[in-house]
Order: sequence, then structure tokens, then C-alpha cells
Amino acid sequence: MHFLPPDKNGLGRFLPLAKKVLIMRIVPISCLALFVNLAIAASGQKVSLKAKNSSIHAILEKIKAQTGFNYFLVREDLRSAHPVTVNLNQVDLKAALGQILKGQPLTFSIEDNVIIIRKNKNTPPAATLAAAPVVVTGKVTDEEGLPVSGASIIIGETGKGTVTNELGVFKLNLNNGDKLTVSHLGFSTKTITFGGTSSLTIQLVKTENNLSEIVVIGYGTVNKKDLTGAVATVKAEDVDVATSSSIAQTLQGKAAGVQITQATGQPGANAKIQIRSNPSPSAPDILYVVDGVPIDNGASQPSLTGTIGGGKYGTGGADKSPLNFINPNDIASIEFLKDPSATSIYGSRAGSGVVLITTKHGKEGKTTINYSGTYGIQQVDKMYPVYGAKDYMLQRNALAEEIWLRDNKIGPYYGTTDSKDPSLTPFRPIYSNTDIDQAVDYGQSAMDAITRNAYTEQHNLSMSGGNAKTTYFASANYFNQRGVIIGSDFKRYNGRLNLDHSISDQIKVGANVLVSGSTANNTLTGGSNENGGIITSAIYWAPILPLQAEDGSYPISPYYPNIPNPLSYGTLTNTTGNNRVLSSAYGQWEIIQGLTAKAQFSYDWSTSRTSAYLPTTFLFGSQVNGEASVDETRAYQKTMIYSLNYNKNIAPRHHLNAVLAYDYEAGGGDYLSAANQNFISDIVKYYNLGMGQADKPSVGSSKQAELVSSSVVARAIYTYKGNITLQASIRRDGFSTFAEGKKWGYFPGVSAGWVISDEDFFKSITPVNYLKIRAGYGETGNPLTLGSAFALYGSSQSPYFGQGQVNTGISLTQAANPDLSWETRAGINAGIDFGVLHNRITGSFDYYSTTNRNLLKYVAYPVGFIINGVYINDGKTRSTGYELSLESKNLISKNDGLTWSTTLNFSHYLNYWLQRADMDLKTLPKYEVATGKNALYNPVYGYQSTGIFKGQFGTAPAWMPGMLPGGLIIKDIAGYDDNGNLSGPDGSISTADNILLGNADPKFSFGMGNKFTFKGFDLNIFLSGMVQHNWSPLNGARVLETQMNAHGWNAMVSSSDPWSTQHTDGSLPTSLVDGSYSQYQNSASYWWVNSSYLRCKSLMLGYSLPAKLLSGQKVFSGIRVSFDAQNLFTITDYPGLDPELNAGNYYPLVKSYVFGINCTF
Amino acid sequence: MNLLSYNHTTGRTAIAVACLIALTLGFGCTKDLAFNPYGDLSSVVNSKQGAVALVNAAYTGLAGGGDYNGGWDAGTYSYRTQAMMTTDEGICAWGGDWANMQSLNFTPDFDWVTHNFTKYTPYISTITVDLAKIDALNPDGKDSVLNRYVGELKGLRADYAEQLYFYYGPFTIKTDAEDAANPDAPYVPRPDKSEVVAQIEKDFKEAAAVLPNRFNGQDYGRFSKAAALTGLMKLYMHEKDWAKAVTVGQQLKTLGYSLSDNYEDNFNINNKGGANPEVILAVVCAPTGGDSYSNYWLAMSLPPDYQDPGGIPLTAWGGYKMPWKTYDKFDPADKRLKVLLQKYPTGKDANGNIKYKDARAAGDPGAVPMKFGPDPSRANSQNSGIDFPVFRYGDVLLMLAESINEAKGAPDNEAYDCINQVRRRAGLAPLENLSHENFLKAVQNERLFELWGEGWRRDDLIRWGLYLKRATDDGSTHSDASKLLMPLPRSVVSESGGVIKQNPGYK
Repeated sequence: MHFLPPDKNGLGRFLPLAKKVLIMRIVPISCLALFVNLAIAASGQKVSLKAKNSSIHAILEKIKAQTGFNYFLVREDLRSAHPVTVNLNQVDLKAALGQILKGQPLTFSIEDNVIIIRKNKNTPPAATLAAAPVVVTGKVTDEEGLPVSGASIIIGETGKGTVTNELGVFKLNLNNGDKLTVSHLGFSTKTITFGGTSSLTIQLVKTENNLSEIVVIGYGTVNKKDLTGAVATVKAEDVDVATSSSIAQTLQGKAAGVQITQATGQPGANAKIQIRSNPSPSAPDILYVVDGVPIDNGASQPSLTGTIGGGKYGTGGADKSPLNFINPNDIASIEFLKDPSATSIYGSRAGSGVVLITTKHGKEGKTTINYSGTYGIQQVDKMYPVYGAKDYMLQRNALAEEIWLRDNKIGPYYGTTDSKDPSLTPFRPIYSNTDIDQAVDYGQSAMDAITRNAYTEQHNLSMSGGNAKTTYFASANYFNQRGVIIGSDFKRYNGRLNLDHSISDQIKVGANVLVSGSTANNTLTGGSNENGGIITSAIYWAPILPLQAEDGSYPISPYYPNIPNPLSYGTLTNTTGNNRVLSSAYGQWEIIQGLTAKAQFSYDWSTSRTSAYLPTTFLFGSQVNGEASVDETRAYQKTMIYSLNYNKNIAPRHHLNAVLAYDYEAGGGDYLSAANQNFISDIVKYYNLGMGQADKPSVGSSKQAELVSSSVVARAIYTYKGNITLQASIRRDGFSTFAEGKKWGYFPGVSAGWVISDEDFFKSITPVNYLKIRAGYGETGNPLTLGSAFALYGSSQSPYFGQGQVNTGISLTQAANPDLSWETRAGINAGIDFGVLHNRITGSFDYYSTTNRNLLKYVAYPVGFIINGVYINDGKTRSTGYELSLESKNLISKNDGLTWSTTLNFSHYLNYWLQRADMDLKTLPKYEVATGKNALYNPVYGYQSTGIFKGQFGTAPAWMPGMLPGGLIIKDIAGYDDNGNLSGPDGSISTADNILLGNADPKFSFGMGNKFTFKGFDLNIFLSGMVQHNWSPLNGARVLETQMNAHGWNAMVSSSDPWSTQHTDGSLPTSLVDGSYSQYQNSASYWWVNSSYLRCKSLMLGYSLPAKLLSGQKVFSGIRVSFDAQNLFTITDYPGLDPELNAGNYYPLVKSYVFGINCTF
Repeated sequence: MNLLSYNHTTGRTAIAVACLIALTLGFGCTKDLAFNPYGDLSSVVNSKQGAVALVNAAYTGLAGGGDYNGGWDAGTYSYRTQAMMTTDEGICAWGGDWANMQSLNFTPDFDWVTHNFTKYTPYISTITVDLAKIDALNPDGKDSVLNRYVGELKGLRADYAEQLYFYYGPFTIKTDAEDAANPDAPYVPRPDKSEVVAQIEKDFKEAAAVLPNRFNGQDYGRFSKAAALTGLMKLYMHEKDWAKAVTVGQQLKTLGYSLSDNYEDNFNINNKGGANPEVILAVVCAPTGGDSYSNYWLAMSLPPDYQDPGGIPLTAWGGYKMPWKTYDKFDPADKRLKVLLQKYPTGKDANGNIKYKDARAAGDPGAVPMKFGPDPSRANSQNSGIDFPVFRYGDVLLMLAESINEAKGAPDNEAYDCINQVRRRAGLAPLENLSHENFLKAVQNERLFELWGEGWRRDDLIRWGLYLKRATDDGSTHSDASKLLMPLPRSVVSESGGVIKQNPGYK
């Protein structure tokens, strides 16, 4: 073999060439060797060439001409080569060579601008090779070509190796013939022999295990196996986004320890997400981090202003979800960081937990176009049951008679008067028997009249793809929902572009732009009396009245002419338009293998505008000839994050993943409003406020103080042998609202995980395939965003003088607290993850205990002080709980047969006070438990009721003298002494008799999913529920003296009868109001009822067309159709509308039946 | 090469790390985290512009202080409503807690009766702090504008304290600015009533000494000398210090006030802007002024089917009534019945004639107390811009008549003149030749006819010893002597650890 003898310097060919000496000496040892000696000016490495049946030699000449790269080959080797046909256009040199040598018995490598072509597998002299390893860049992917990060590559028996980075890429110095063992949890281990190619793609095949997933953990990713904290992941394919404007609604019951409640069914409305719980008065909203960018809630929906609208509905309307601006279809996965060891990396912002949202990014390869569309019909799940015309009349008569009996003190229940006493004014029923017999129901009840069948539709188009350098993902979404209550709907348009570009192997840049616009027509719900919304009005509506007059106008109830006609709410305008642009860009530089620097910037700009018009068809509009208002909030948030990430095997079996970051955020916003009245026509609505003729049009504006935070973050994750992981992190945060010298806080976190099942001693325990234990401690904070440490004076109290001119007043609006600083939330979490019976059953269990110290709380000053209270660092609260999640593959099948799997999650938590500051204790009611396990954070106090007083006049319990029969008997437990402290039972009822009735937080929350597949079919049934108690809505909405009698309001139908002189065995308390005791009876344990429920959230049947059917054409690569039913049924004993909704006449939940189609092109 | 590249990348790494550390430490340590609230007036508050604004803010207590139901407004906690609903003046059709007011069923758990103590004690302390700030701006005491502000603040402080004293009995009036601004100030036991009376008297007198007789124009609605003296006269009468009450009453007659020609002009659009010679102190309202500074008495009072003959849209919740028993005490010829209706308009018939409904015949529990006129501006059907008079000359005349009768043991000419001025305007015959007792009875009735719904009936009945009797006569089982005062909030007793005692009879 004539190959590369030492040159005259005695240096081997492959030994380093002096950097600037680019002259290669040609030493002709053999005529069979071709030597080229040329000076090379290294330039671009791009190659463009066209060749047909050319020799390799000729092609290499062309490349040399283009790139200036010299080449080196042994001519003999070319004998076995065949001619080449290529067409390359601006292709990376390596890729070009790869194509040229494809299928040839040759391989190449590049060493300092010299291309070396060698014979494949034709073992060169071993001695030479040992000294000449090739730098190989490889990529590990899964079956779908997606990168597998964290895969370990071990060279033969050496134990040396590396791990793939987050793009699945690794670099190794390899010798031909090296045996590489590529392994990763969740994939079958693969062994290959290195054949000399300088780039490798190794595809791994998934095993039946989900532990291989990459989990986003904040400022980086880890393999699920290396997780040490409590992190719950929800994948896009597991949520049903067909009818959801926001991802929040779809997540209910999907992850253990994540509680999602929907207070209203209004289209586009917010669902409240709670991760475990954060027992703090300053608990911030959950921190959402979208693709690494922390986002805030954006511009909040402004309240209505205007003299009428602001007064009556200022706080009403719908609370639109801050997540509406994210198209649920764009989301690839969602991670919930639950415990402080996982969230402490986000420090002060993470007290309520962190939700990391990863959106879809493009993949290298063929362009994929996906269209999905859904259309669904919706109807009200359940409406408030109220009396029809006849029953309404009967109920009113009965109530009036009871009042007559009481007012005339008629025995035996109300006094000693004989009902036949001739001096009595006889009882006159409100409605005669004839009235009742002829009662007209007007075809439909007010409830039916304000509801309608509605629909929801969604169109989603996405396009993704890219090449080795650039990948993109673009999507557009249109969502339209018509509300089931008249006058309500929601429309949204979303656009998104994700672009990632590799400038070189080391440098990568990218940008994301998200644009969202939505328009919601809100209907006003909630409220009471004249400030009630449409549902309140419909509950009040006397069913004996026509809802609409023959001339089309909307009559007002003569019994209670203060609330608009229910149907007339459909004629008002209350539109919220939201716009949001979130743009972010990053640059990333892999400085050396494993070390990456990244800079990320984002700017988030949002506006929310409510435009309203109360027309003359609407009671309040008619009183002022129309009122129009426009209110707008705007918000901005700018973020800069610089980070340095190190992810490398630092030695055999030792892996380090470290990050150092700096994070700066600033945000603020402002508000503007204008309103006018008295318009010449309803046509103008809010389009021309200047046209109004009000004496004094209203204007207003405000600007928020900018909230600034500045943070330094460091974290290290060390993994030993791939199964023992230690993690430590620290964050230093500064926040502007705290007192001088108190602005900075430190938030550390440590945790560890051990995959015991990977240990040799464990291998014998065959039923258990996987077992991992985790434990961690961490601290996070709750910032003060509602107030600050400084004294503020504002113009809050302004009187009127003269003819009615306002005179500006100044008053102290916030008291100073020079000691005010961070609230810290510290917690431990311990968990196990397991897989048994060949991973047929997998799951995890977590226990946690978290303590919030220096709670930021607005505490009342003593009565009479010049300002109500002040923000202080109060005592401590504790939250303990556990979570269980299980997945079971009940039936599995290899060949499209029937499969069935079940997922289950279950969680519980308890929050209570450990310690309270003296100042807080001072104003705490004496009956409340101050500290300890019974000092619940969300306690419900009330009175112990021991039954209904059914006795006769004069036989009332001694401690409730004069109580009305039919009322709830309250237990006398305590009284007050002269110093205001509790004493023993005092023979009377007072607030001292309050007892702890229970916890306002649910006891358990759970979710259960069942998935069946058979051939192309799949069926998903998802149930969720809670075990909890709630106040009964019946208390305030039943037949009552102060409502049905005083105002003629209709009432909610109850399954039981109230006590009356006719029904002394009634199980519901009397409809009369007991002046002395009603305030106690209204919060008696009788009304604190079980509101546990189990709801079928969704049932989805899907069918994917078999590949065979699609093989004949080239348009579609996949088609799936689906049918989906949501909120199918709810099992509960709760008497109200819905155990989940806010009590108080809110928008009902809807039942949906949705058809969907999903095509991939 | 490996070596070289190693060195090279090490260099790059070092530079990158250094940059990042410089950035983090540089930004992290020096980044300005100052809190910059927009619109903070802390720097204005100690200036002369700030002083007037502090004084303005102190006035809001007259209108409930952002609490639209309170002060001299028309709602649940307002003095005019509480005085009406706990006496023979009123009854409320809504039942519930309103019935507890009627039967004096007061407990410390009943927020309606403890609310005002919590609400107005901070006003008193705030005024004390404000007075110190203004004193600091006026070291030599020669700035007449600042002196006037001091007078207004003292008048307001005395007025708020007087109302609380009438409703809750003696309590600590904080007059030391440092003490008032210290949340940790030690609790002190409730003072003797003489101490409280002396403090209120002092404030009223000092206010009267520096304030103008009346305010006009843009300043109409501010606390004048006449207002201070009216408050002082009420204090003396409450203390049955009749001679002093007579002196102050006679002084008030010299300040240029007189009865307006029409009784109802005190309560309709003609009471605006100081044009009415009778109004001494008013809460100036605007239909667009927010709930505290608008008048919604009619919304509380008009029956749901009431229709204004002039077509003004009016909100009508139908709560407040005057019981027929009380209504029937009026002489049918009394012109003041114009604003107290047995028959009220409910719309027009086909010929355009106004239809009337007889409330008594319809079974309503009382007459429609239409004390305030509708606001012709039609800007807001619920909230009108009609002012709420607090003190007026008609009241002063009747107080003087009563005080003279008590001070001298019998009415004199001046006393007859006072009461007869009021009766004359109402179209009633003058009184003459009455004994002390009968004159007192006449005053008691005249005060009902003249002043119902204005917030004085409770104090009047208590002064005459008739408050509890009224409740007992109406069937109340709760009218024991403890109900002459309302209970303090429980929090006041418990927060002080028992240093502050509850009023007797309440637990």
C-alpha cells in the first residue's frame, strides 16, 4: 500500500498542518497516486454543479475550482467506482460529497480544507488509522425523523462516548470499524459499525414506553428520565380542541394536580387554571412561558363605563381568557411545572406554578400541509328551572296567604288570633281560580326565549417544512362560536409563523410571530336586582306576562319595572375586540460542542377594547335616549433573556447540563374611556360618540406604573450513569414594587432522581420494568403586583360644589411599609415513577408540602384609622397534597386489532395557616381558627343548623326567642364577653356561634380517560370530576317573601316543599323571612351541600382512512374524520345549574356535538 | 489541530462567558428597579394646591365617602334614611332588614347599624392629620385662605363627630395628628360625654369664628359659619343646654337666611346653586356625579307604576313609605302634602288626562314620600342632580322655638314667631296662647310635618323621650333603653382587647 509516507519534516500527513502554511508538498512516491499541490484560499463551502456520467476525479476538480478545497485520493481506489450523475445547486460541501459518493465503494473526510477520498471498508494499515480518527457529525432520530436528544453513543468497549444535543446531533472522533452502541430510554438499543462516512444518521425504534420524551423544563430541556421535579406533560394529541377557543378549557382533568374550573360558559370566556394551589393573597396568575418567552395576561378586558352601563354592568360581562390569543391547534405540548424545585428556576414569578407551552415548529423534509375543520352544534347543557305560569300563580298565592297568617298573628303558628275572627280583613288571593285556570304560558318560558341552538366552527390550516438549514411552521386559524344565549358570540383569527434557520453548524437564529384578533359580543350575565343581566332578568320574569308586545317592543314587568325585559338584552351592543402581537427572536451559538449561548428577545403588545351601546329598545337606554361608550386598555411587555447552556458528557458516565441566564422584563399599560348619552337615533351606536347630547359626556384615563423585574438564573443538572440525576438551581430576582433595600430575593432549588430499575441489582425483579424515585426542595416567590411599599396620594375623593362642579380631592390611597419585601414559597416534593408488567401499567405518585412565608397580604388597620389597611409580610401558610396518575394498557394488539387503554389521575390538597402576624390576628374574627390544620386557607364558616322549627307559637328554642316556625334552628355554641372574646353558650345567637363548616377548596379532583382503537377507528371518552361542597343556590332563588312577594319574581323549582302552615312536614325552610335570624339561617350548614360531580367532558370517535385507500392519489397523505360530543352528561346531587359554575346566574355551560375533518397533504 | 482548536474554542468560550457575566452582573446590579407610579400626588399634598384638595376630600363624608348608601344621601346607611326608618316617619315595603330597623332590632351583628361608626371615625382622624399639614404651611397664621380651610375642616370634624355621638354615644375624637397617623397608637377607654361635647363645641366655635356667613357661587356647598352654628345649636339641644341653644339660634337669625316662598323649592331643582335663601348646608349633586353625589331618593321611594306627568323617566323601586298613621296627622290643607302623596300619577288615559292611583285604597302600607322633585335634565332616571339639604333655616326656626319654650318654661313672642313663620308658609293658621306642654307638642308635630325625611326625627324623638314608645306602640319587642344608642362594631371592642367597651345592653 503506497500511502502517505512521512514528509520530510517527519510529520504524518494527518498531523496538524500549520494554520497559515497552506502549501502542500507533493511527494511522488507512486505514480498511481495523484498529487495536487495548490494554494487554497478558503472560501465558501457551497457547491453547485451538474454532471452526467462523469468520473469522480473530474467532479472533484470542479469542486476544487469552486471551493478552493484541495483533494487527495488514491487513484487505484477509483477503479471500482462508477460514473456519477448529479445535479447540485448551492449544496453544502459535505452533503455534495455525500451525494457524489452515494453508492460508491468510497468514503470521504475533510481535514483542514483538504478532501480525502478513501476506499470504503478496505482496511488501511491499522497503525495509521489508530492515529487518524475521523470527526464524525451524526444525528439520532426516531422513526419519524424527529431528533432524539440525550441519546447516548458509546464507542465499543472503550466506554467513551457522547450524548446527543437537543437537536439530536452528536460529534465523535471515530475510527473505521468502531462499534457504536446507541441507546436511549424508550427506544431499542441499536449497535452499528462505523463505516468511515463523516456524517451519520441513526434511526432508533421506539419501545413501548414514553420515558424517552423530551421534557421542557424552563431555560432548557431534559429527558423525561432525568426529571427530578414534579412535571406533568400534556401532548397536543391528547386534548380535544374542536370547540375550544382556548387551550385552558380542554385541559380539565388531564393532569394530576392541575385544577381547571370554568366559571361561565360564555363564548371565549376564561377558564381558571390552578396548579396545585398557592395559598397566598398575592398569588399571581400562573406563569405561561410560550417557547421560552414568559408572557403576561396582556391587556385586560376593560369594564363598561358610562353613567348607566358603568354603574350597572361595570363589573359584569365576560372575562375573556388570556390564552385566547394562542391557537390551540398550534400547540405541540404543554408542561405543568408543579413543585418548587421545578419552578424555582422562574423564581419570583413562579409561585402559582408554570405552564410551558411549546408550539409546533417545522421539520426538515417534505412540506406538509394540514387542514382541519370542525363544525358543531351546541345547546344549553342545563338552564335554571323556574315555575311556569300556573305554578307561579299558585306559589304566589300560597306565599301571600302565609304572610297574611303571620301578619295577623294567626294561631297556632304565628300567635293566638283565631283565623275566623270577624274583625280580620279576610285573605284575598292575588290570583283567582279563574286567573289560574286561564293562565297562558306564552308558548315559551323566559329561559327558553333567551337561549337558542348555536354552533361552533373552526378552520385550521398549517404548513410546515424546510431543508437542512431552514425550517418553518406557519398556521392560520379561524374560530367562530355563536353563543347559546342571545346576543353572545366569539370570533377569532390567528396567524403564526415560526422560522428557524441555521447560519452554520454552530449558529442558529429564529423568529416567532403570533398575531391574534378576536371579536366577542358579550351578553351581560350575573348581578342581581336592577343590576342583573339577562339570566337574572329571565329568572325574575313573571311567566304570566308576554315577553314581546305585538308591535315588537319589549314590555317591562309591572311587578318589577327596574330590570330590562329579558329579550331586550339581545338588542344591546357590547363588543370586545382584542388584538395581540407577540413577536420574539433568538440567536443561538454553539461555541464549542455542548456549550451554547442564546439571546432571546420578545415584545408583546395587546389591546382590548369594549364598545357598547344601550339602545332605546333597552330599558336603561330608553331612559337616557341611548348611551354609548368605548373603553380601551393597552398593555406591553418586553423581555430579554441571555443564556449560556452547557450540555455534555464531561467524562465517561458523567453528564452535565448547566445553564446560566439573565432575564429582564418590563411591562405596563394604560387605559382610556369615553362615553356619551342622548343620541338622536340608535343607528349611530358607538360609532360617533361626539354626536351624543349629554350634559356631561364622561372621559377617563389612567396609566399603570411599569413593573420591572431583573433576574439572574443558574442551574446545573448532573447525571451519573444515565440513571442518577442531581439538579441545583438558583435565581436572584429584583422587583420594583418592594421597599428600598428589599427589592432582591434569592430562590434556590435542589432535587435528585434515581432510576433504580437501571441498577444491576434490580434487574432480577422482572414484574417491575421501571422504577424511579425523585425528591426535591425549592423556593419561589410571589411578587407584589397590586400594590407597592410606598405611600401614595391620589385624587380619589372629589366632592361637588356650586351648581354641580367637581372639586378635586386628594387623599392617602396607599400606606407606606418600608419593610415590605418578597414572599417566599418553599416546598418539598417526593415522587416515584413506575412501570410494571412490561410497562402495561405505568404511573407516578407525588407528595408535597409547601410553606409560604412572609405572605404579602393587605391587612386591615384598626377600625377608625386614616386608611383601611396596608400591605405587610404576614405569617405562613402551608399546602400539602398528593397526586396520582396511572396509565394502563388494558388491551394491546399488534395488527390493528382492538386496543384499550385507560388513564387516570387523582389529586388532593389541603391549605392552612401556620402562623399569622399580630396585625392580622387583631382583625381576625374571634370564632375563626387562627393557625393549625383547622385554620383553613379558604374556610367556610357558618352556623350549625339542627333542623327546622316545626313547633307552634311560643315554643321556639330558648336561645332563639320569637323565631318564625319553619325556620332553621341554629345551635348556640358560644357568646362574647365584655372584651369581645368568645365565651360559653350565652343563650342567644350571634356571630360567636359560627363554626367551621368546611373547605371552599375541593377535597379531590380527578380525571379519567379511556381510549379504544380498532383498525382505523379510535374512541376517546374523557370524564372529570371533583369531590367538594358548595353553597346551595336554592337559598337565594327559591320562593321567598322578599323576592316573589315583594317584587313578583319567579323562583327556582325545588324538589322539596317549603315549610308552611299547610305543609308542616316540609323539608325546605319557610319562604318567610325571619328578621331576627335570617342572617344566621342564610349561612347555616343546611345550605352547605355536597356539590361533587362527575362529568363526561368529551366523547370522541374518529376514523382515519386506511393508507390503501389513499395510495391511488397524490393529494392527500392522510384523512381523518371525527365526531365529538362534549359535556354529554353530569352526575351530581347539586341542586343548581351546575356544580362547577359560579353561583349567581352566570352563563350556562354548553353541550356540543361536533363533526371534524383533518387532512394532511 | 485538536490542541489548536481546543485553545481556540476555549478562547471563544471565555469571551462568551465573560460577556454574559458582565451583562448579568452589570444589569443585575445596576438596573434601575425604582418604582415610578404615574399620577402620585405625594409631592402636591404639602402645597397650597394640595391643601384645598385635602379639604375637598374631607367633604366627601357628607355624601357617604364613596359609599353611595351613606352620609346625607338617600340609601340604607344614610342619616336621613336611618332617622326615618327607626321612627314614625317611615316604613319600607321591602321587609327583611328594613323591618329590623322599624322594630329597633339592633345587634352588633347587624351591619346597617354599626356601619357608620366604621365609616366616619377615619374621616375625623384624617381631618386631624390634614389640619397639621395646613398649619405647617401657615406658620404665622396670617394666610386667610388657609385659615378658612382650617375653619371648614374643623366644622366638618365637629359635624362628623356630632352625628357619631348622637348615634353611638361618647367615643374618642382623635385631635393629635401624630396619634391619628399612628396605627399602633394605644387604645384608650371611651371618654366621658362632657369631654366629647366640649371637643365638638370647640371645633364648631373655632370654625364659626373664621368662616364666612355663607358660601355662594362656585363655593356653594362648603361649610359656612351658619352651618357651624346650626351644628352647635343641635349639640346644645341634644345636651338640653337650652339657654346656649337660644343664643346660637338668635345669632343664626342675623346671618341673612330666610324661608323660601315655597316649601318644595328646598327639595327640587330650585334648590341648586345657592339661589334658595333657606338652605344653610347642602350636599351638591350632579346627575352624572357618581352614586355618592347624586340623589336617588325618588328611586327608593316611588312605586313601580308611578309615571311622571311631565314624562321624565324615573327609576322606581317602591321601598320608602310614610305610614298612614303618621300621614293622617297632617292637616289636609297643609301645602307640604304636595310632596307626600296618597294618590299618585300612573300615566294618561286616552284623552290625555292624568290617571291617579290611590295608594291607600290599593292596600299600600303608606303614602308616597315624594320629598324630592324629579330632575328635569333627564340625564339619569335613577340618579338626579337635585341637592340634598343638610341644614336649613326652617329647621333653625323650629329649634329656636323649642329652645325658647324650654329655656323660659313657656313660649314667648319670638317662639311663636318662629313656629308661625313655618306654619304660614304651609298655609296653616298661626298658633297662639299655648302652655309649655302644648307648645312643645305643637313643635313636635310641626317638626314632623316640616322636616320628615331630613334625618332629624330620631334625635328629636330621643330628646323628647318618645323614641322607644313609638317602637313599643308599633308592636316591637326590642325597644329597651339600650336602643337609644346603636351598637359599636364588634371589631372595635375586640381589637382593643376590651379597652373600648360596647354600649350597654349589647353583647
